[in-house]
Amino acid sequence: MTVRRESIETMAFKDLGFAYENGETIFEGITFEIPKSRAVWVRSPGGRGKSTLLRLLAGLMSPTQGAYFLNGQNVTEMSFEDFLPYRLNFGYGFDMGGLLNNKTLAENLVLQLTYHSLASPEEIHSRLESVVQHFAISKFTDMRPYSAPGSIRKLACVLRAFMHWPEVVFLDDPATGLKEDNLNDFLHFVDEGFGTRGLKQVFFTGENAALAKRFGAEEMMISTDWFTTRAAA
Amino acid sequence: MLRSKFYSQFDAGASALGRKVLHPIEYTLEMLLMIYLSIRAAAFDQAQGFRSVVSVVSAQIYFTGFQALPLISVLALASGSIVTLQSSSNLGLLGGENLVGSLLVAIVIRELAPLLTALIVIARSGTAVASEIGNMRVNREVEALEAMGIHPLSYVVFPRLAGGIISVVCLAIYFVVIAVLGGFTLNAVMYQKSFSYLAASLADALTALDVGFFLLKNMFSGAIIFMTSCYQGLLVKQSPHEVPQVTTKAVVSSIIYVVVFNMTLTLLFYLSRLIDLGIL
Repeated sequence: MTVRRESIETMAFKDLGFAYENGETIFEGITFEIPKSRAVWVRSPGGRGKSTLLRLLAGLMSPTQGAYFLNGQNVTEMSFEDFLPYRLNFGYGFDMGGLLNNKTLAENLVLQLTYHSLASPEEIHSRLESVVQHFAISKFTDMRPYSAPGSIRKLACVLRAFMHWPEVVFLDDPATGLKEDNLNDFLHFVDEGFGTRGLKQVFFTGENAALAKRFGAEEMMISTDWFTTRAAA
Repeated sequence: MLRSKFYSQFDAGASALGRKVLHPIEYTLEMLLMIYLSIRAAAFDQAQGFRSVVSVVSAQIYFTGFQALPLISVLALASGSIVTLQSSSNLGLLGGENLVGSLLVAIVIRELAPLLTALIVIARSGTAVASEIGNMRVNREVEALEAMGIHPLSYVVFPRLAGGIISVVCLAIYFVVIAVLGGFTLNAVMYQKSFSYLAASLADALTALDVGFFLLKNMFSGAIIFMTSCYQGLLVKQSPHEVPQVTTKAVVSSIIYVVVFNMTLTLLFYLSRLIDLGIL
């Protein structure tokens, strides 16, 4: 059975507040419409809140105050099942970890596709082959994450976010841990995604200015009580 | 001044007592909520195919059930032999050899099999599940599942719970079979009692109520062990040093819950017997 996917048009926060269980406040009273540019570089002068913001946008955390709107609809209190159509158009690459250790890298890459039957078995195989060829990682695909080199684990985690051809991808510090040649291949892969795989927007964190320049990314500066944007340098 | 100090101390003491009383209730309710949510998530999950559930459930049965067979065999043989030998030798002095079956039912089937099986499963699999899920949390695997639209409760908790319950029931049945066979064999060798005599004595003693209580005890013990272990594993926030802590808590909580549950059922069983006999 194929699951419905909801196209992502707008993302906005109203009176957003977020605090961790230990009482540490990350965001407070922020009303903001997320920019629609194809690449958004999330930065924080204070160094805090970037990963939290990506998680909030991807629906992996809920605001402790205020609301999160997708396409004008308040999704803050939605159940897992109701949020699923949006989630299937999101991809999320973790800064570290995130791969299932009891599955091979290949199984990790296609898990979402196979689980939700988002493509036919032939199509899934073809997507996997294409990625494996593009990044020359065929000798690692049958390995479990813990036995693969760190750079390959990171690459697999980042690539997995794109395998189901989402519209919006959140990448938490994608450049750290990737080898230089893998990073170049990855940038090319993302560029292709904008052209051919329905990718609309990429959010990323980290201090790699070259990545931002390559994407022509809009900067989104965040702090505890304000968000602002500025055009690419 | 003294009076207000007394009241504030009384207040603090009462609050602490209240927290001590409420904490286990809150803990139990949270675990039951997790079970409800995992069953609900599994029922509503349109994507999670039968094959996916069966593959995790069968893996759980293999690790929890099949791999525990040698340890269960040793314990079952020892318990069955001890109970049968002791009852034969002691009851023989009083002319009550035909009560061997009754004692076997009362001690092994009603009490030892459910309790020892549960303790072995807690030691082997409860710890494994709590630390596995705890490590999944640390490694952000649970969060990754959620990011991929895969409900962690239906993908991680439900199959372990279902596999755990099936495993505990099967292991307990296996325990009984090995314990009875071991006891019978020793008796046949040492006291020249025939298998058919012992089997008839056992069949006379075993009632439908025994079977019902046996199944009830083991099903709930399995549910308690895996519910507690999964819950503790999911409590890990992000640090690896939390994993051994939750594993220990899972073991301690499981043992307490299982023992209290088994004792309560035993008590209810004997109360019902007393009521049947017209004593109460």
